[in-house]
Amino acid sequence: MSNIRLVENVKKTISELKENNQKFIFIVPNATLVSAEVQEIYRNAYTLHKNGFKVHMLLETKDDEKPFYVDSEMLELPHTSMDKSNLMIDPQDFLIIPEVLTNVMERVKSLPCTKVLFLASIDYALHSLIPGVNFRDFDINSVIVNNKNVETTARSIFGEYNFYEYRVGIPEYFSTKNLKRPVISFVSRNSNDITKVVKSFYLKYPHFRSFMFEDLSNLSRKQFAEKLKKNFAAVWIDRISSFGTFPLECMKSGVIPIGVVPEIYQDYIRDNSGFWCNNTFDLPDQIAKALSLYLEDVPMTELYDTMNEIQSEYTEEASEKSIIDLYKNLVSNKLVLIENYLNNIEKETNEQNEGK
Amino acid sequence: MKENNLLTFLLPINEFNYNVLNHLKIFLESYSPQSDKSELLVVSTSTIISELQKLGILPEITQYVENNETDVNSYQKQINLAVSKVKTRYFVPVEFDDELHLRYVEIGKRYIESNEEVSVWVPIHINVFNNNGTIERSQLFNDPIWNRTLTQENEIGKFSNEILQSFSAVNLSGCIIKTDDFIELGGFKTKFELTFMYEYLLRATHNNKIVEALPKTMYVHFVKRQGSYHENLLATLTQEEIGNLYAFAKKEFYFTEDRDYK
Repeated sequence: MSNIRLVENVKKTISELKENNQKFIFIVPNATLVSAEVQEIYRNAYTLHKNGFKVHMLLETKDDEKPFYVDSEMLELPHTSMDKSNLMIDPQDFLIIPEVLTNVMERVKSLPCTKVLFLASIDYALHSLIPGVNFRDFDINSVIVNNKNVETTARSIFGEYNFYEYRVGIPEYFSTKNLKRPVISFVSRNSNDITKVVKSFYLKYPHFRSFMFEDLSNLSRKQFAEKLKKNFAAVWIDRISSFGTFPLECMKSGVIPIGVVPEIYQDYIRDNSGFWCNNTFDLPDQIAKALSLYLEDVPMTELYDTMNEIQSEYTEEASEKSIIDLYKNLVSNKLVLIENYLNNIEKETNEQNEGK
Repeated sequence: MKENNLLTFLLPINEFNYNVLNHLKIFLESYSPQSDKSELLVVSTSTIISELQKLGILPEITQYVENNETDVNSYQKQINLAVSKVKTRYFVPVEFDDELHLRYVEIGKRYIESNEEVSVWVPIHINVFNNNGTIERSQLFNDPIWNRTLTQENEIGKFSNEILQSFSAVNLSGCIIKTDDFIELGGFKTKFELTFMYEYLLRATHNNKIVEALPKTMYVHFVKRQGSYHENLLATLTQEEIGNLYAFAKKEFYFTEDRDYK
């Protein structure tokens, strides 16, 4: 391409960015089970959409099947299946790709747009990459994370990238209900974990045999919120979560979280924010302790105050603001890069012309 | 009666001796922290009431109802008589050898106010088994209603007539009962023993009264206290007779009238 043509194209890209004409294209992985990461991807996209940004969802599924568990208003965003899409992707656009889709990263690496990694799980990221390959091999230099600890761990493993952090927000429809049932909800990546815990619990504490566990998997987020708030406590087993939102959803619902501390430290796990242990085999004891306190109506003021304090830091409003700021920063940083690039081209062109 | 009190504890006493006094003191210690938020009504013979008043162990605000000497061993008759004197919206039949949660009234109020349509709130008991003065073991009671296998399609924690047809292990001592409903339904049946509380629940649910479980361990119940009327009664009944009493309860709940079954 001649320099003149190149300069024209670059100027056009700059103009499009300045007029907010870029598209944010979010790739949605095909997750058959409810995925918190997919929900976060949609939340990012929907927040941008509400604030006037152009957004498009590209589905990994071949048959345009949208994830049932995402809030219905988010499913109104423009969607196409990757295989059927004839979506035009321009240099000013951003392609947001979740860490599990390295196959997609390979396919799109030569596209002229900016590729951004959406990193929700370091575990999944390492699982998806083949040894010796890093994300920058797919022309990815920017990474979106939802937590400082995730950024620190990611930086130590993957090296230096441009990290952009947003704040997770728990939707308002997670609310508390005053009188709770003596039922324990549970959420786990692995159903064997829960079976193990439940059976151990009844064996160790047979006098609690009348009290049940309720599985909250495979529900839409709103249905999940509705069921969660009815029960007094919830068990969470997810060692590989980089930033699990379930404990925060519990806290906002006035439900006591009982869980195994995940591998990456979360600052909401502290004394009096729930019942925490380091080993799945210790969970039955934590459950029994929580259940005894609940049945005896022992005031757990410090616990509920701490839970309330923590969840108040993760509001939808604060989250949405941080999401908008993140993507605006992506745009402004890209603009700086391209403008510098343009200056360099123009300088080079002038030098060439002077040389003639 | 204090205008703002929500419930009255009905305390039938059918005997008076050193053992009874010891148990009564323990009950009163559990009642004491909440005595300013509830009423206490003792029902017994004039002789026993007189002795209790002389000893001065009952709170000053205690009310008394005298029953006949012949009725003293009928818990049902004592409760039915006492209820006729209750001025609060709810009452709690208790036994003198049992104990209350130290915040019974506070917790009960919270649940009553959550749904004033409920006619009977059934809390979880801690049943304590005694063997010659030593606590042998304890277990929860009234708790199976929280299990899905019992309630099936019904919402857990809610008693229905259907559920009660297959689940009779419910003890109404220490339960919160709406006074007006109890009187309207005819109170406890006195013509048969042992299963009169179960029969009342069947009758209440049959008459569309709402009976709900209260998920807190609010009442410690002393089971098979040596020398108690209940213990002596059980010793005289065969398993077949006990079975017949449950079967009888399942037939009689259709009637408000207290009918002879023998």
